[in-house]
This record gives sequence, structure tokens and C-alpha cells, in this order.
Amino acid sequence: MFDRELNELLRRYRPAAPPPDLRDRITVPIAVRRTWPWAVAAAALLLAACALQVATDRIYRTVERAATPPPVTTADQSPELREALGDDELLLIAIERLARVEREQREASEVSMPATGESWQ
Amino acid sequence: VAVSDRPPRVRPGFRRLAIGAFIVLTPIALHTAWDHYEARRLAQLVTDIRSRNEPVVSPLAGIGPRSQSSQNAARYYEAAAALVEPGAALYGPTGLLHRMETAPVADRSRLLEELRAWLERNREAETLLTRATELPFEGYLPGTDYSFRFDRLYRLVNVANFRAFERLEAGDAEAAADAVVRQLRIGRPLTAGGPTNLSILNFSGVLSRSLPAMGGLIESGPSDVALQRVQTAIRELDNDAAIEQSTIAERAFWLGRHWDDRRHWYARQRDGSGLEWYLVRPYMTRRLIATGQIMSELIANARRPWPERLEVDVPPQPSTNRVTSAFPFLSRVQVEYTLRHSYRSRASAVANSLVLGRTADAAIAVARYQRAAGGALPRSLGDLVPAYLTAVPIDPFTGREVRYSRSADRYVVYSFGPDKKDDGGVQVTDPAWASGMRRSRNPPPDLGVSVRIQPKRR
Repeated sequence: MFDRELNELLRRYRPAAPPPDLRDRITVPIAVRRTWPWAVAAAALLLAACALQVATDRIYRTVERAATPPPVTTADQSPELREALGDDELLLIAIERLARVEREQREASEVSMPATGESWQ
Repeated sequence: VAVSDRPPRVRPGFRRLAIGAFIVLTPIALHTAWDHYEARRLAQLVTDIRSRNEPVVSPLAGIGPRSQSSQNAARYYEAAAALVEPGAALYGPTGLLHRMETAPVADRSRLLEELRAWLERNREAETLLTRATELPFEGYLPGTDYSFRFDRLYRLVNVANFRAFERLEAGDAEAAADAVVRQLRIGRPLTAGGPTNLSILNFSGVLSRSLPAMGGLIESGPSDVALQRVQTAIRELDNDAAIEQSTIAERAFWLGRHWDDRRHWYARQRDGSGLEWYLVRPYMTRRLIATGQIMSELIANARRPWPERLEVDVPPQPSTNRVTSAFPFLSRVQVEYTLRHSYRSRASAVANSLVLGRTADAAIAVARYQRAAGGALPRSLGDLVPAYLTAVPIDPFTGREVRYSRSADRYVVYSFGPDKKDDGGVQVTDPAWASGMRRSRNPPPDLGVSVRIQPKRR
């Protein structure tokens, strides 16, 4: 077989050029494997989560301020009552009684708020 | 073939870290976005409520106006309540209150003696209560609290109630009427922060003690002035919008409880910015918003005319366990059941209270007319307007005027009652209620006041 015939035979089976997608197969994955989009996405998520969290906390604080009941005084009314009730003899007896009851209550246990619907009847 | 021979820009470890961070942060960001969305909805709900000048803080906590005026009844109520003998003599299974409600009629005289002894021991409190009754109630004293409002005030109700009963037994109609007025006017501080679930139930108890005995009081023949005072005290407490107002207060209570209830772990977590709090917050907020929306529906229902405002669909009670019965883990069905059931109870208590007050007012008006007309009864309640009634009262159970019927020996002013059927006013009180002391366990067919036409003057 002459060289010319051999080359002719090889030409039949050897591609004249690389397949068209070879370049993409070799070069594109390198582009996809870049780190920065992941890093940017993660950073963006972190920033968004932090910003939303701050904004959400602010909303909750505003709502909470509007909807939180004031603290309830549960004991030790006697000093104010003494001033408010004056010097009526019966009222003074009441103050003494009230002070004693409140002292006993404080000593016995902390006064707790009853649940809705409870009745003292 | 052209192949990039440039080296990777970063190390593979950093790339894996970035991908890992992205994967971890994605659900966190989504959860935060959900949290933010629910927070904005909650803020919108609160803004909407406030824009209608409705409260978002329960009036249970802020107990209404406060005043230190020397002419304010609150100071005397406070002092009187402090003087009432507390403890087992009144409450408890062997207490006077329980025995008055359950003891057989045969024990009446012995109980009456005990009652007189108890009243004697509480005479100072009664004196102060009388002073309080005559003064305007301008608001609570600074520092007075929740337990005063619902516990100690109720002791005062018992003082007045026992006295009314005792005086009726003694045939002293004038003093009995005064005691009824004292009892009714305790309703002023009881409802000072506006009607709430609790104040309505308690106040309903006050009325159910004083007003069923109204027939006996009228028959005992108090003066026209005394009857007028009772009428005035009854009208002071007639609040046609009580269901709406109490439902608004209930919504505020739920909103406030969300932030304030330290009995629940999530409320404690909130202070420490715990992870659990962060995780459950949007779910809890969603549930809270659902609660607010259901309450708003119920408020709209409460604005309908009588008797439609009494009607509310209550779903069957869902089964619960320890976890799911704890707010905020209540399911939507459980929330619906709880709120709607509560509304129905409250509406029923308000309707009963209004009926008791309105029929008593009208019955007294009939008695006063009869007295002025030399014994003749009015043909209809319309004859009493405007001299003895401002208008013919409306029956909440029907939306129509209360019924008036007369026979040879008695007249009856009555409402159809919760069954909304006209039973002719034949039975308007529970027979066990005859003394006026006992609370009814089963509602009678109709509700109202029955008065014998020939009262036996004592």
C-alpha cells in the first residue's frame, strides 16, 4: 500500500476537525465552576436575611409596644390608699385591714392573675 | 484543540464553602421572609384595629379611668371591700354562700340567723358601701388592681345581696330596695374598664342574684321614691352594645396575651432571643392573625340587630392533647371553637342580664303606674311611656318588645328566654329560686318578673 492510499483510507475514518461541541465540553465547565456566583448568592442571601430580620424585629417591637398591657399592681396599695382615703375613722380601719391582708398575701404566695372565664362567685 | 490552561481562580475548598453557605442560608432566608411577611400582616391588623379607635390592649390590665377625687366612690368601695370578712365563713363548701344556695328550705330560719350574724360582723363594710353607693364613680384609685376588681368587689355584692334578702324577710321593703340599689351600683366599678369576658360573667352573676327577687321586692311595697331609685340603678347598667364591646375587649386580650403571657415557654424565649422563638414566631404570628380575624368576624356579628347577634356557628369541640391544646399550637379549628364558644357564652350572659334588667324596669314601672292609678293596671307597656319608662324595652332574644300579660291575681313582664318560645310567662323563675338567693341551675321557660296584684303590705 502506498502512502497516498493509506492517507486516503485514514481520511475516511479520521475526523477532519474536533467535534463542534468539544470546545464547549472542555471550556464551559471551567466557567461554571467559578466560585464567585456562589459566594455572591450566599452573601446576598445573608444580607437579605439580616436585613429582613432587622426589619421584622422592628415591626414586632412596634406591635409589641402597642399591644403590651401595662404592668398590673397586685399588692402594697396601702401607702397610696392611706393618702387617697383620708382620715375617716372607718377608712383608717379599712386601711389597716387591707395592709394586713396584703402582707399575708405577699407572705403566702405571689398573687397570680386568673385565666379568662374564671369566676369568683 | 483550544483548552483553557489557566489555573482555577480560587481553591476548591472555598468554592465548597460558598455552595454550602448558599444551601444553608436559603431556608434561613426563606424562613425570615415568611417571618417578615407575617409580621407585616400583624402590623396591618393592629393598624386597622387602631384606625377604628378600637383597643389592642386588654382593658383587663388597664382598669379604666383613675381618679383620686375625694368625692369618688372608688375610695369607699376599696375600703369597704377591704373590711368584708374574708375566708371560709363566706366561701368554700361549708361557707354561708354555698349553703344559702343549696340548703333545703326547712333550714331557712337557721341560715337567716347565721346570715344576720355575718352581716353584723360586716356592718362597717356595709356602712362604707352605702357611702360609696351615693357617690359618683369616677375611676379607680391609683394602685388598685385586678384582684380588687373581681374578688373583693364580689364580697361587697354578697354584703348587699344578703342584706336585701334579710330585710325582705324582715318586711322592711324600703331598706331592701336600698340594698338592691347598693348591689346594682357595684356594677359601676365592675364594668368601669368596659365590658370584658370576666366582668360580664361576674356582673351577670350580680344581676342574677338581685333581679329574680324583684317580684318579691315590688310586692313588699317600697315607696315610689325607692322604686324609682331601683329603676335608675337598673338603667345605669343597661348596655345594649355590651356584646360588641366585650368582643372588642376579648380581641385585645388575645393580642396582649400573645406578648405578655409568661406562663408559656415561647413568651420567655422571646426575651432571650432563643432559637425556638425564632423558629416558631411566624407560625405563632399566623395563628394570632387568624385569631384577630375570627374576632373581627365576631365583632361584626355583634353589631347585627337583636337577636341575630346572639347567633353564632360553633364548630364541634375538637379533640386535643397537651401539646395541641397549648396556645399557640392550637389548630385553626381549635381557635375557632374556643373563640366562638366564648362569644356564645358571653352573648348569652349579656342577653340574660339585659332581660333581667329590662323586665325588672318594666315591672317596677307597672307597679308605679298601678299605685298612681288607684290599683288599675296599664293595658300595655306603651301606656307607661314616658312617665314610667323611657321606651318599651326590647327583648334581646326576639328583637321585639318584652311581653306583658296580666291575669286575675298577677301580672308578668317577660322575655321569651333563650329558647325564643312564648311560654306565656307562666314560669319566669326557677322554683328553687323563690328566695332570690339561689342561682338557677336550669333556666326557666321564660325570663322576667312576676308580681302578685294584691301585694300584702307589711
